[in-house]
Amino acid sequence: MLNFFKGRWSAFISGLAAAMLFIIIIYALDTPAGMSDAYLKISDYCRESLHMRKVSEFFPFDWQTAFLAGIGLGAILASLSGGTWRLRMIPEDVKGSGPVGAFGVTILQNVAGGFLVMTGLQFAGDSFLGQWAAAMQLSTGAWIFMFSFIVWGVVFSGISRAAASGGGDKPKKRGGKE
Amino acid sequence: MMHPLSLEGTARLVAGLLLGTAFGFFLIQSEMGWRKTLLDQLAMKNGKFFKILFSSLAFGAVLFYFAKNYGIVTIQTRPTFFWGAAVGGMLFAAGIALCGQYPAAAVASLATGKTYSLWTFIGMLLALPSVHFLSKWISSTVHKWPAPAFYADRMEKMFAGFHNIYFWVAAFSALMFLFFEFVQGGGDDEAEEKKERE
Repeated sequence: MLNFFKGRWSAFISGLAAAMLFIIIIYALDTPAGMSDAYLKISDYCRESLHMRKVSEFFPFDWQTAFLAGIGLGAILASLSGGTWRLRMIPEDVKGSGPVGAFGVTILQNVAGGFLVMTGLQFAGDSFLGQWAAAMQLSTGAWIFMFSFIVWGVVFSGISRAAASGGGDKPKKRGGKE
Repeated sequence: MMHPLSLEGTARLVAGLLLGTAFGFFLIQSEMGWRKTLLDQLAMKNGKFFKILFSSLAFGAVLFYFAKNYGIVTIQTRPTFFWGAAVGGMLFAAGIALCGQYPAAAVASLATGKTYSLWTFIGMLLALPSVHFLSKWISSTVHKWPAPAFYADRMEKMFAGFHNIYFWVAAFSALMFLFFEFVQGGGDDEAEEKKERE
């Protein structure tokens, strides 16, 4: 039993757990499971705070932002129980040299990647979890999103690895684990 | 006939927090919250991410079918547009290839000490105002582009000829799971790690 909380889950168990979690979310809250609204609210909150040049007193705390905070809490619990909590500022697969260095590459890659990820989700109309839950409910748009992500993900990943290895050379082996 | 709980007020807030905690726990235990899992999947080195995705869709479609028939849940999806989903999926994939994280994974990863996820989070928050700015343009273009003739919002409508589309989707997802299981494998990292330690 303890191993269930400490060890990693197989794809089969993980899939069952995800399906049950989505069904429980829809049953308990009776609303789409995505949390794109939470990001919109946090973004508005940050913009307001920047505009007023002080931290706004009214943080938008509703079920969606609570869900987001819960994800952080659950991740901490899982990583502490599994012994995977580790402070890391640069991913192990990121290599950099010159004036920018690995830290600069990390910032550029992550900010640009995060920007594209969220732009894509806004085009599609919901967060990744929302699309995932909608695919279970047989929303055609969610399935189109998933297939588009899978096909283009493999294509862009290939391009990105080719670019990282110097334009068509054999890709470097990604080292270590997170 | 049962009904969804539809919690309100404080109960809804607490449920959001508890369900989020369960989801965060799931993301780490399943390794779906790690950047490496997603990047290795897209590089076709390890099939774990897609295996979890498709096994959850297989289980989820069947569970949802029975839950819906017993009135426990109702269909809860946001409206989607064919080209919005297709273009959105492409942009999402481009972003994933760069940073290896989607929103929930960025939060989970940040909470487990991977501080570089903060940059992903900032990138995501920066995207929202610009998309707000572009939303009128998106609504009048991408969302208005005509979908192919065969397209319908719901699969029940699109595949009306099939007897029970939920089971067909579950069977297709199970096949995809088996495909990634046999073609790519994945999930043996723990065994490899043990070997390395020995």
